[in-house]
Amino acid sequence: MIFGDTSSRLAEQLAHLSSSVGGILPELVVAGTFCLLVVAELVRKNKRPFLLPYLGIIGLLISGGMAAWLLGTEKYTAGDGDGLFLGMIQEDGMGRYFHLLFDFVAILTLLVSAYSRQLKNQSRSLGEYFIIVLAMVLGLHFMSMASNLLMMYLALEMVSLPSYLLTAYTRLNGKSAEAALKYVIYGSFSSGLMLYGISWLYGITGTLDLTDPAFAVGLGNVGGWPLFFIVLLTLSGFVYKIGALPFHFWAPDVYEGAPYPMAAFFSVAPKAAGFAMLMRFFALIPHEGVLGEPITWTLAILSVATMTFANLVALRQSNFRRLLAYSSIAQAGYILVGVMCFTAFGYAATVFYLTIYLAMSFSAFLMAGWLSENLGIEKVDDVKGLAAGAPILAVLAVLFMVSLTGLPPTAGFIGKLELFLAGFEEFQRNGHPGLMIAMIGMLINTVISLFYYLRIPSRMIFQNSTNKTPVRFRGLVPVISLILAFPVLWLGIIHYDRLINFFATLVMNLNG
Amino acid sequence: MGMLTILIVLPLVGMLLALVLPGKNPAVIRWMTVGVTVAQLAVFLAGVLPGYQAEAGAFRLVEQVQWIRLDLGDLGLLNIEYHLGMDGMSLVLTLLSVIIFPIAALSSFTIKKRIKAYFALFLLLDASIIGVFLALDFFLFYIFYEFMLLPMFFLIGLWGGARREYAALKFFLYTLFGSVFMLLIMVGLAFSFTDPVLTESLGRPVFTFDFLHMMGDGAGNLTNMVPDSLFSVTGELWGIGARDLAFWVLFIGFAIKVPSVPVHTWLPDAHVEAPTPISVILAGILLKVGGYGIIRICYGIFPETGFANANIVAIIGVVSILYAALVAMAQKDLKSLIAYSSVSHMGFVLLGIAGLNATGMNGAVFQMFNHGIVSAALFLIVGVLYDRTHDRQIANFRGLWHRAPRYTVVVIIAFFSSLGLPGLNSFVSEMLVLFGSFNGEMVMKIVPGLAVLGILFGAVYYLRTFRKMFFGEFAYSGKESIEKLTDLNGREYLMLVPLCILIVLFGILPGLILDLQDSSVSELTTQIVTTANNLMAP
Repeated sequence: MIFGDTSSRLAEQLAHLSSSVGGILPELVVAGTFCLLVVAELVRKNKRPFLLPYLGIIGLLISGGMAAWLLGTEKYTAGDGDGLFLGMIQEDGMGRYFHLLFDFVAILTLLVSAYSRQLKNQSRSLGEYFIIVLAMVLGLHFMSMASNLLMMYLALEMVSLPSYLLTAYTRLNGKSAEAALKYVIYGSFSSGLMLYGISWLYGITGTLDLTDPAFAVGLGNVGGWPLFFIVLLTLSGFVYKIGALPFHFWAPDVYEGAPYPMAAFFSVAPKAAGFAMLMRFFALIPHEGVLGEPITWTLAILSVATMTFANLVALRQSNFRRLLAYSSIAQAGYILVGVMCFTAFGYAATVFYLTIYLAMSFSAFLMAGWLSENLGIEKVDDVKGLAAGAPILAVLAVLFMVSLTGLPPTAGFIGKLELFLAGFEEFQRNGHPGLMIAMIGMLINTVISLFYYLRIPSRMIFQNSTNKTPVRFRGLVPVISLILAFPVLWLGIIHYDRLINFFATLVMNLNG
Repeated sequence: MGMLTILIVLPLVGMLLALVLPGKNPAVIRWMTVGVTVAQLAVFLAGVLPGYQAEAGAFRLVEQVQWIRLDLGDLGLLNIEYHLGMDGMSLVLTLLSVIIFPIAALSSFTIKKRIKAYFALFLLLDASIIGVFLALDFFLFYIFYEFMLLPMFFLIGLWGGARREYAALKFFLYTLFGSVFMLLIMVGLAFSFTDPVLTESLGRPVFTFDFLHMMGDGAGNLTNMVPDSLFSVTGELWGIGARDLAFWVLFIGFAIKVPSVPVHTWLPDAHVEAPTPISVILAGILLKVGGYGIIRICYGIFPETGFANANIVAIIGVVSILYAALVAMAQKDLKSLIAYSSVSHMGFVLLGIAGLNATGMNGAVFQMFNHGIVSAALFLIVGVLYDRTHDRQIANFRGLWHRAPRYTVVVIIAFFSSLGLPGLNSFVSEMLVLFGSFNGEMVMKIVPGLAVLGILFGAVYYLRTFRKMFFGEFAYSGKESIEKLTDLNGREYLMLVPLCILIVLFGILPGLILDLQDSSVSELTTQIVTTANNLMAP
């Protein structure tokens, strides 16, 4: 934003700010719903337990509907972005698409939470729970839009703080409190590193606005390895949010200790938001000199280390949710391959994979939660023989696990294929060995991951149950899993080209 | 809908039927499956075969539908097609599949638990195997290829023997390890070849997964290659020729499937644990996918590497023949003996390919066909014993000739065909392979010479097994009661007699199959050799 120097500058800025408000209508709706819930919680006096979640769902439906509607307008399909609030946030197609995803997952999470017996038994009152979820959704919205380093940090913290609270929400459960403490410690550590990096970047460039030409110029003036390490420090916040090495330690404990609807939510939404922010960050910084090849190497090493480490550790997991936690860390490693291309096609592949990943991982965690809530099953070995009583559960487990492994004819395969195509296209262009190493790493890891992914359905189907009580796969979770199974199968066979071409238009103009 | 699509869709319809039909009456689902597979055979004989013979050209009965088109921005488009077609090799292998499936379906009558799921998976496997042989788009091929794994995994893992879970996982991991790298090569190939017709009509580069565009124009030129792409002739990856690397990665992937020594170790486990019908499919059809892939993809797309390394391929083949034959001699379990003999006989396929002339290649394809028929019969024979006694130890049986004379006749035909007796089918193809590889330009003469030893070893273990089990006084020292050891029943006749007839028929009249494949396979071989010479010329 360039404004005049004279007295008219203030007036222009005010006009810009007030016109910016129009660009964040969905966020205003979420914020409004948040306030409404606070008031409703005060007046309901522990009566009508379903009032808050349903009010929240209505608010999110409106916000999501607006995001979808805005996404359909001409402005976004052209991929054009507007800097709002003096370049604090970018209102563009990618951000809006992520809003849609967040609102959708949050609605499902609220629904599941409202009917969860486990959650109810292990906490005193659920009122604040729903309010905090809404606050977190607001933070997620801003994460996917932020284009200013300060805004990025604020949005990140806006997601992190509710996450800590929600993890600890089932305080009658010892694991919950422990997990929250770990979450807080790792979160503060990595965001501290990030702040340190940001302060350096500000010192070098004199601006926090990534879209400001002065930012790129400032980086260009410094160059050299110090800059590389400064960027690395800044990256630590993102890496923590996407749950990749070396800031992944919180994930297994949090996913195990948090209430299960929240674990499912954490495994997808903040990760997707972290990737959105990461993509925007890399799209806006110049890839020259030390920020070119060395950064690709860094991401390649991070990616391969993340997926290999997580998959190897997952092999040894016996707890269902810890296994899924390592799986979600490994998946972050795969998705990084799309980011490290720094091309529109790579970003489109990333968005596609995140979409698919959302369906797969969310349902996998919900199913794990369902097993724990209804059958008291926490360990992978205890699922044996469930297929006899609940064939649908077994079929869904096969579908989601095969998709997480990345085999046809599921959407997980297409997601991996897209990451591959993007990586290969860029490899052919610049010949960076890191890309090839990351792709080969991904292939080897596909084979490793097959071991533990298939263990779950094969225990269910191949082994005989020791428990004679009949199992009924009924309730809200099965319905949601079935709904999410549909895109996982459908997009594995047809029409994904349209979706990817659509994503490509969304991220086309990401690079400023 | 074209004929080839019908072949693929038919079992899928059967699968849906198996899922919706009531499970109360198993006979309905069983006979439905037999009906579907017989209908498939009928479609092949009445529709596909005449249709194929009526057309001309390398690939016939072609079906081509646009499926997926990805926009790569300024780079161009990526086009994936539903592209099916048939040449001599796929014709023969499809024929083999449609012969084996009804027999395997009949053999599946012994499956007692979870019938709906079993037959649904069975038919799904059927569809994906046929798809592999017919796909002409690499992406489509890959989908079918990977898709075979899941039904097979569950068929072994659910209805298998005691160590079924281990065997199923081992099978899955080996094959997946072989095929994941195929994904990388596939993507690289797609970026290295363009579709000339679509590029012309759309005005921007259209990258393609189509085999035909990757295979060259027949005169030895790779006209559709993108210059300086990774898998172009000059492409290098870290100092190694990218095409050489790709050839070997794919070769290992398919060699796992064949399987050839030293990546064969999944096969005995899978066979020993799998139920009889699944062993029949595994040995009868699934292994052929490996040989098919080596010819169609490794040699079809990277002919110059294949040509230069033909001797190594031949040596791998011979090592498989000899090593597996020696291991087979030491087996105490009849089924693992036959499993190792399978590995040994599939070694001939590699040897024939390495000859890189019309004789060798025809021999290789015909060997795949013959081995499919014979090994199906052999595994059914083991199944007959196992169904009655739950025992497969060779040492536990003696003098079966007296107890089950009809069974013995069948065993004689299958054993003697497998050991290469003239007049039975395997003899013809093994001879063709040996002739072809002796004349092979790149193959050292000693290599096929050693392969002859393999035939000798085959005679040793088959004859010894036959002597132990069928000669002498009748005796049975297993756990089941001796009364259960009866001769063949009606259903088993229905499975085994057609196979025996085919073994004899194709032994006496090998031309029935060879005429179908000869011109097409020879043409393919010529194209491979011409392209290889052209690319290797300085």
